[in-house]
Amino acid sequence: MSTRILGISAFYHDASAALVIDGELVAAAQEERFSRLKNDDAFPRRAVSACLAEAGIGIEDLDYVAFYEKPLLKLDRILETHLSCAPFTFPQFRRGLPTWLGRKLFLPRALASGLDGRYRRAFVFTDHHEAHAAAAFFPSPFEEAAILTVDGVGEWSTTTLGFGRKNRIELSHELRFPHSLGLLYSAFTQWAGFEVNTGEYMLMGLAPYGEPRYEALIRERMIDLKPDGSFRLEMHYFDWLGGSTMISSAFERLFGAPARAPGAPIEQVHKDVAASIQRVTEDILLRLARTVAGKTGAKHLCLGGGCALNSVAVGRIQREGPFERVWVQPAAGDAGSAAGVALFVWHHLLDKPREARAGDAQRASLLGPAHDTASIRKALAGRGLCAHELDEEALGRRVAEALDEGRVMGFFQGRMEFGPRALGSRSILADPRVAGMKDTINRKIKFREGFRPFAPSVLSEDAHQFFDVAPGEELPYMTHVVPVREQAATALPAVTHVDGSARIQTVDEARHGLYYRLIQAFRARTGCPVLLNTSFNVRGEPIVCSPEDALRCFARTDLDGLVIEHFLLLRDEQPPDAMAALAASGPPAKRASPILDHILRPEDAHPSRRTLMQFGLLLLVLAMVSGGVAWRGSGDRKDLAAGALAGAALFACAFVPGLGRAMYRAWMALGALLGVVVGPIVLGAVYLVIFAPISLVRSLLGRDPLGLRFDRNAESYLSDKSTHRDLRRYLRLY
Amino acid sequence: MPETSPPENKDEPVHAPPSFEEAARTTRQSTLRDALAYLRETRKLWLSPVLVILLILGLVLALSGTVLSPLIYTLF
Repeated sequence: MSTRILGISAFYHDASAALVIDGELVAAAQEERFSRLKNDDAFPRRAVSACLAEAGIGIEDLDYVAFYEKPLLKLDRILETHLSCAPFTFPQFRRGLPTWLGRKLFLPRALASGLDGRYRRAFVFTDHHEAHAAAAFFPSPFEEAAILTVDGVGEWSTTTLGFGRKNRIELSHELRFPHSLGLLYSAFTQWAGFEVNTGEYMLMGLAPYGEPRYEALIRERMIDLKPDGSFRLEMHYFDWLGGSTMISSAFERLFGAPARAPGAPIEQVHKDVAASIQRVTEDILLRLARTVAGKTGAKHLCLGGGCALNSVAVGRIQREGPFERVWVQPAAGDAGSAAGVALFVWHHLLDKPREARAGDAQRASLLGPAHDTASIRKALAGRGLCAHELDEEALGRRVAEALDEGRVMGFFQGRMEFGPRALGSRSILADPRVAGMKDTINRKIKFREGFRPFAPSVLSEDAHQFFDVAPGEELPYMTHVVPVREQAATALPAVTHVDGSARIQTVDEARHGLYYRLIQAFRARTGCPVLLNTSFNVRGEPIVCSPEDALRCFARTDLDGLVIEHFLLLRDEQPPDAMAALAASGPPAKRASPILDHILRPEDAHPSRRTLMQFGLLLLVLAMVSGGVAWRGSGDRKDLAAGALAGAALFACAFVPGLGRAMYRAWMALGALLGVVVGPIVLGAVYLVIFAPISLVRSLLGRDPLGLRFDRNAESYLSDKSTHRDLRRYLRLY
Repeated sequence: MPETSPPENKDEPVHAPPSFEEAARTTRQSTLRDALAYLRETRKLWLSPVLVILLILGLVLALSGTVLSPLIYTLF
């Protein structure tokens, strides 16, 4: 009998699901791809369904469901922060606590509800960083390795160091909140005018355009960095302890410029500050890598957590660090934790053996849904589009020809990628030899900032001729930035960044199949075994998931052609009317909604019949109570009868189509309006009466529970961390 | 005839704790019980009144999402 384990990451950002059957990572997907909401944090219902469909099983067939965090530890951190920093944390208290108390704290109930009550066993909860560590180590090609996880924050940890061996991981050291490299980088991201959680790549891409003039200032004023890579931050410059943004006004004063408004011009100061924080980040990660190497003696390193997506720093750790090889979980952010937590249950908790594989066990990160020919035909049917169904050889030849002619092609085939990178299954492809190609794609298709670089996909056997990698070195996930060889940089202008680097993907036959053969066809035609590969989406939207998404993106941009499995569509051949109709299809454009819809929650705007029944009963009871009160005052039984009659009439009205819904919406709008006024008053009263006095007393007693003060004499800010020995602890919420 | 019980295995404790697999099948999870256990283990029991108040607040917030919301807010 197989053991089926579902991993879930949700409720913060980038919700996802992953399915592990007998230790094999069978499927994994992010909810945003289905909901079409970037970084969707909702319970990943559609991702769960896609994973289960891949295995042909239902929720009832699951043996374990695991969540990637321990909610009570997280609540402990939040409460400690308010109890230490009140009254300066009220904006976050008012914004965050209702969500916490309403949903995030009672996770077993929320998870059970997300699974429609069809999973009846206990849920497994791991530490946030244990899930990152598991995602980084278990699929890696190493029998044993050092583990380094770095992100914004989980429960208390922001960075952990540890060791993985066979089927066990052990985290031994941690850096604790609020001192966080991920949050530090996000603060600079926000100041530079990019969106937190998605704009960090942009800051990294902007860095090579600047000079690190502010590096010394950051080191001197913002951070106390120890030789082992641990650090404390001067929280005076940041706002994430209790405010509603990432940076304080002191931050802006330090750099002599306010935060850039989104869309405002990028000045030299933004480029220089980006270069400076990137240098500091690389230095911290290099120091941490050397520290974990020293503590474990390992030859290999597994990297996890959102900061592991800083591919420039990863490249430097590979080249300058103490490890022979560095493997990064391709979905290193919270999405990958769904896979990590499921693998943790199988290997660590159920003690099932693990054999490291020569490549890795991530299966090229092609873990999402695929679409068969029948469903593609259905997606194309009735749209009036001109599509050629070709055999593989003809398809490769035609696409290579189109790319050689300078066309930009959408390429949709096989299973969808898991993680933020398009790896040849949901990609936009172009000729990297064309100097103006980067600007063309940025301006006409991706609609994104012109400074951002594009990545190359290169045949594995040819990679060392163009890039600074060893012959045969496999980097199939775009996790490492490497120098482009000098003679190749001029030949590949569209994928060589301004500093002569590139975030490469090596492509091989075993992992990539059709994509590999396409690049082979391009090489046969042009002599160049490299293609420009960028994600198949437009700015602000998730990568396409289904053939319908791909067709809409084709119609809404200036893509020259589209490949969906063995179907080829060329823009020149498409009737304009069909393209216009396709562009207008999909979810209806948002219309201006009535004012009530702005006040009401979506479920209140569209009540179910059951909700209307409850509402009718409430009106009945209220009317009868009112009649009873009037009767007690007047002694006239007619008042009681009038109350009962009015109640019955109101109850009946609740079921009149249109009228009942209107009454309910008005009633709930009254509640919402009262909530807007009363809610902050109640929360403020609790905050002032409980949190502020405790915080004040702690300050007067000189307590520093969050470790905010610098200790210049300390050798390290790392503290000990241990992995639970009693495995039943993983069934607890702390 | 008196009933005989099987001989006890002296190597194993009589009340061996359940394995992880067994516990996963039988454990009934409770946020409140785990919260109190956590406060006890971390010697933060002094926080329990704060927790109780927050839970009451949570209950109010939960009710405020129902048809009772105008009545709940009027109480304040």
